[in-house]
Amino acid sequence: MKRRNAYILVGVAVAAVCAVYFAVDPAASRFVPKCLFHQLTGWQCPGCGSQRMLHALLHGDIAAAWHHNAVLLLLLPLLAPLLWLELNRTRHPRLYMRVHSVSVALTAVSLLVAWWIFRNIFLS
Amino acid sequence: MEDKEKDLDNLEKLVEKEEKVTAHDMCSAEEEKVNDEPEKKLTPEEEIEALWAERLHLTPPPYPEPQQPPVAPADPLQPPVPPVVSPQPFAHRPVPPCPAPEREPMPQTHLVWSVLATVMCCLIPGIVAIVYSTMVSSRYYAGDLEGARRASRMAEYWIIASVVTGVVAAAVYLPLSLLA
Repeated sequence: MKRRNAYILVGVAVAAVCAVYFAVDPAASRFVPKCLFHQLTGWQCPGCGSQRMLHALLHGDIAAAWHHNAVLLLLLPLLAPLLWLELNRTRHPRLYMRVHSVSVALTAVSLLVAWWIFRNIFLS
Repeated sequence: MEDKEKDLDNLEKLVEKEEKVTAHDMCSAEEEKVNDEPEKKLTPEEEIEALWAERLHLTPPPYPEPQQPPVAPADPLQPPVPPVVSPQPFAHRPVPPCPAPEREPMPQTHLVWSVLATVMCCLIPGIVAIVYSTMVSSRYYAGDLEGARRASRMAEYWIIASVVTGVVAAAVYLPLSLLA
């Protein structure tokens, strides 16, 4: 029951976010929040461009989505199984242990940092 | 003389016969005793109970009773060997419905959420949340379940802090951007 509610909640949230970013163009709108790190330093954070990427993706423009934030575009399909596992942690404790091992966490963090450095040096 | 001798012979034969008979009788009596022993266990009350059970169709349980070890033909002079304790006394213990997992499942690492919070909202609290998420799994692998739980809670708090910071920053930023 609780799990089903969580599924419904996640589904509603994803649908709402998709609806908002389909309707609103983050590059043109003044109301969309901007990245604080980018405002303060002028550098791009690992997540910069994610809103524009989502907007482009929802309009079917894969090339523009890739241009705005390539790594997030690649990691987006991983989100659904990871969230599913988050909700089914007690049902599949061994799988959860494997996926959330230290090595996986360190890989994710190093990937994020590498992308952060890479995009500021080579893609600016 | 001859008659006397004959009589003596007859007497001897008779004595022999008697001895044989008594010996045979004793043997048979012993055998009967041995044969009777298993039946003797049933007292009259038990017999009546068994009869009543038959009458009332009280069938024995469907599972086979644990086989008692065959009782060796006991020497009537020796005390009866105490019966081997069967594992039946343990049968009444409540059996858990499913085998318990060998370990408690890992506490939530919130790794997905902390990475998302880092990328979407703001960096500093998100990075702290990622560090705590990593600590959850490392402590869990080290066997420190309580520490893993604490790290999991801390990761949760830092994710919330990250989201709140992001929302507040957006709320502050929005009027400023409108003014500019």
